[in-house]
Amino acid sequence: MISGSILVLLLPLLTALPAYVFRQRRSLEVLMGLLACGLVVGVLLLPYDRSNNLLIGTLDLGRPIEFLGVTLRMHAYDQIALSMIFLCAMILFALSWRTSQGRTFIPLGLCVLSIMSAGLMIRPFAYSGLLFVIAAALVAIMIQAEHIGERSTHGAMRYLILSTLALPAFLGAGYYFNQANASGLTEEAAAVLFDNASIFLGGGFVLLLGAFPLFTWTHLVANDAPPLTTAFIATVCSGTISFFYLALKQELSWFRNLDGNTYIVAVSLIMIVVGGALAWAQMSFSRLIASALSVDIGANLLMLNQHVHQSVEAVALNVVSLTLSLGAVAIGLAILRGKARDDDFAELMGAARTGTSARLAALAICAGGMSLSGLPGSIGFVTRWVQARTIASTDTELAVGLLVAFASVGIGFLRGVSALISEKPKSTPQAQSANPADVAKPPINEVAALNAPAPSAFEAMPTEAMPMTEVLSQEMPLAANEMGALNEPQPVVEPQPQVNVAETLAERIAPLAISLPVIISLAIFYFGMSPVIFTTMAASLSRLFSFYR
Amino acid sequence: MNDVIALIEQLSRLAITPLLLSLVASATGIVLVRNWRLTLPILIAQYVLVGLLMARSIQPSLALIKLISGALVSFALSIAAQRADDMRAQRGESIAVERIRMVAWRSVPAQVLLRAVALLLVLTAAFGATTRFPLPGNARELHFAAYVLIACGLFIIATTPEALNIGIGLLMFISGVELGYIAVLPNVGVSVMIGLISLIVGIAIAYLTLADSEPLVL
Repeated sequence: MISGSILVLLLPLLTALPAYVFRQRRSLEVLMGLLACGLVVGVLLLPYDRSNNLLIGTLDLGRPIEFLGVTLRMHAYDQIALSMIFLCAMILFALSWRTSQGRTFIPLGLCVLSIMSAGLMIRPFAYSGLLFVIAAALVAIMIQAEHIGERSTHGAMRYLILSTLALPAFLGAGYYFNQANASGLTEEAAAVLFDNASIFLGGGFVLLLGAFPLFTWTHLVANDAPPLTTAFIATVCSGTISFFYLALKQELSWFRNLDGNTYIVAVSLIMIVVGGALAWAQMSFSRLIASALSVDIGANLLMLNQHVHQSVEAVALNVVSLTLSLGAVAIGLAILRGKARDDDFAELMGAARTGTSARLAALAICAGGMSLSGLPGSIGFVTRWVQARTIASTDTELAVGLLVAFASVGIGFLRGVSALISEKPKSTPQAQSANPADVAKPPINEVAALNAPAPSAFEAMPTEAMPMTEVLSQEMPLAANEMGALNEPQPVVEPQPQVNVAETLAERIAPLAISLPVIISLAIFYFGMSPVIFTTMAASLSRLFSFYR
Repeated sequence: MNDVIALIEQLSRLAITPLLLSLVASATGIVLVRNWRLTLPILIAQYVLVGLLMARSIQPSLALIKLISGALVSFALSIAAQRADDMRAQRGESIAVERIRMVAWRSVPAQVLLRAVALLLVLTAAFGATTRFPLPGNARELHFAAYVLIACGLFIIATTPEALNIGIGLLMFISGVELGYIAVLPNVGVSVMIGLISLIVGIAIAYLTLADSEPLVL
């Protein structure tokens, strides 16, 4: 009888070796990556609740393996989570076919996939933290790729440092968990120990996800790493950690009601605010991606701490949609970085006019960026909508803030794309001294037209992804606190007083109404004096038609 | 192999004070000096000391893992650092050996004194943490050693820009965490895994050291 977890770990590891051998032949390397992920997804699609006869023997997906006091076991929800992770990795590997992401991207990516999968399935959970640090060391090499030079290692080092700092948090949580489970403790004493464990664990997750606004890895990694590697870290690595968080919520009742919850929510709010405040004003694509990631990490953490069915679905959906959105942006950016020294808007001005590949790159960035910001019609909209709806059920202002942050990301991408498709300024002294911010005004119509193919490109995925995310949320009822709420003693529910809807709405809308004029005036200021904007839009539209004629 | 294990067991029974003082001295050396030809040998000595301290709590054969992984990591780092120095020498930049042979005494006090003052604060903080936030268990001396390594590791990480020095700080931090955990909850699996982490982090740092040595490419 073969354990499913062993196959999931070994298949990528074994394929990493030939992928490394063929690293000079990118097609073969990509093929190896796709083959490994495809095989694992194939294994994961087998039924969980019965034995499966394969050529090499009988496979039992849920069969545990025990060694050195640890257990490696794939649960039903791990099966779905891993399927999604490997599918996302497959997409990113496929995207790396035409743009070099460093010779170690696929071989090390496969090793990281294997180690992260082990981290998801291994128990006691302290070992997961250890495995995530090992994966982070390999990711640091992926971030560096063939990028050389002084100060070029900051992104890789920052990611490695933050992941390593999470090590004592996981070990500490493991220690307190063991102590709390020791016999002879009173319920109160055990509760205190569980509280300590939950705070340590929460801190560990915050460090692993890089969920703090300053000195985190997002900006440095987005700047130093090849774009698809950034996407790999944000989706595959952070996605696995998110699924691990959900798995712990499913398994450990004390973690479900953790004390550190408030702190994590506060951290996620700061991430959203800082990311949203910075995104619209960024002047380079790498910094813009970093700000978008900050918003996304914040939104994801909020979802992880919501105790409803939709939040699990939103986390799962986010992994898929982020892969597609960030993958599209990354592939476009990789092409453009090959044509310019860096990815500043000023440097890339007019880059979309330099050939077909550059136009496609601009299209990919536009589609991906709009999807990241949740523009209706893109796959990102599905995720953002679920996120906003979930949060709005408990906190309307927060939901509005989240939407504003997403809009800020969208504005940032509009500015970037408008720089890409605008005419390159002539190299006169006046043009050289011109502030790029003045030139990069967002032509809304151009971007809307560019984004038109995006829904058709993405429309297949939501329907494919939705059932999977639904199944995952059904497999994790405790993470959503539904069954947990049934099993645990129910508090006596006081009869709720009648709610005056008008009053509640007024109460909720009042702060918004105060901030609305500020937002509108900022928008007017940003788009550059309202009388001018219509003429600019008309000019942009005519320029677009002439551009694509 | 049995002789080595027996030797570790005997050495671990030595008085704790000299071991702790040696550990503090090694941490001080690594913090003050930023020359890999000196810091890497000190790091190996520090791994030996950490192994001996660990052997007081766990089986000496497990402490041997720490020694071996530490030696391997230091060896990998020294190869990378040597290669990086070769590349710097080709560009006519100053390298580690030259900086030892011809010490720039005028600039030394400014750098070293600042680090020494900061180190004093860090060591005081480590001592304060040992008394104010004692780890569970009775092995106070191991807790102090763990706090010293963690604090000095973090200090190096925070104050140096080069990949090699940050890596050395990171390895010290990992050693401190391991020592603290082993003192609280001796565990074979965790020891083996942290040994593996040290090795892989060491390889990653060696790779980054090589990348760091090249001139900036725009």
